[in-house]
Amino acid sequence: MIDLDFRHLVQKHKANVYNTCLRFVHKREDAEDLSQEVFVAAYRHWNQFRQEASARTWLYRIAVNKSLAYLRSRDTLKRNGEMIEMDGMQIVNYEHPGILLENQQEADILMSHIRQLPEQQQTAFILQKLEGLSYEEVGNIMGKSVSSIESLLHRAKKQLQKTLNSYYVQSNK
Amino acid sequence: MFNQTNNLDRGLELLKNLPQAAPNEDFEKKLFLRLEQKGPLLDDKESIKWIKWSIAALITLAVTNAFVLSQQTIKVEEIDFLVVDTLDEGYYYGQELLAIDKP
Repeated sequence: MIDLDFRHLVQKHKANVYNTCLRFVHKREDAEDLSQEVFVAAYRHWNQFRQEASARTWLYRIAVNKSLAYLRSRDTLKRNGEMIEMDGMQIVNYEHPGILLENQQEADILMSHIRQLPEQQQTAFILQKLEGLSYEEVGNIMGKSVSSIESLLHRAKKQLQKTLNSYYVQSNK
Repeated sequence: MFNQTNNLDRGLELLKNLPQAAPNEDFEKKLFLRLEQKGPLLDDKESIKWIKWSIAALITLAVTNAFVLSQQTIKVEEIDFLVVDTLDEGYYYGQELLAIDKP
C-alpha cells in the first residue's frame, strides 16, 4: 500500500518534475516516462528522504540526474528521427504544448543551442533561467556554491550569445 | 538582424513565459498502479541490472568451483596412487610373511 504522504508528494510535484524533464529531453513522451522513473526512484528511497529538508530540491535533483543520464545514453538522435539538420546544426523539436506555432522554430533553435552546452552549464541554465529557481536552490540541487552557479551561468550565457549570433548570421535570419 | 543579446533575450523571454506543461491525466494512476502491482524493486531496468549481476556471480562461482574441483581431483588421484602403492607393498610384504611361515 502506498504511503499517503508519498501520494501527496506526487500530486504536488509532478508538474515541476515533468516540466524539468521536458526542458532537458524535449519530447513529451520521454519526459513522461522519465517523470515516472523519477517518482519510482523517489519511492524506492522514500525512507531515506524523510530525513532531508526539501522534497522539491530532492525531486529536482533526481529529475536532473535521470534526464542527463537519459541524454548521455541517447547517442543516436538522428536515427530516432528526433533531430533534423538545419543550416549545419542539429535542431531539436521542443514539444512544449504552450508554444505557439509561430514561435516554434525560435524555441527549437534556442533549446538546440542550450542542448549543446556542457552538462553543468546546461543544467544551471535550465534550472535558473527557464525554471526560474533561485541561485541558492540551483546550488543545492547541483551540490555547488552560489558563486559556482553564477560562474556557470555567466559562461553559459556568453556561449549561447556567441553560438546563437553565429547561427543567425550563418543562416541569414 | 538582431544583435547577440537580443537573440538570446528574445528566445529566453519566449521560453520563460510558457505556461507550465502538465503530464497526462492518468500519470498518477499509472504510477501508483506500477508501484502497487510490481513494487519499486521490480522496475524493468533495475530487474535487468540484478539479473546481469546474478548471472555474473553464478559464472564466477562456477569457474571458481571448477578450478577448486580440478585441484581436488589431482589430489584424489595422488591419494589413489599412494593407496595403490601401499596396498601393493602390503601385498608383497604379506606374501613374504606367508613364504616364511611355509614349511
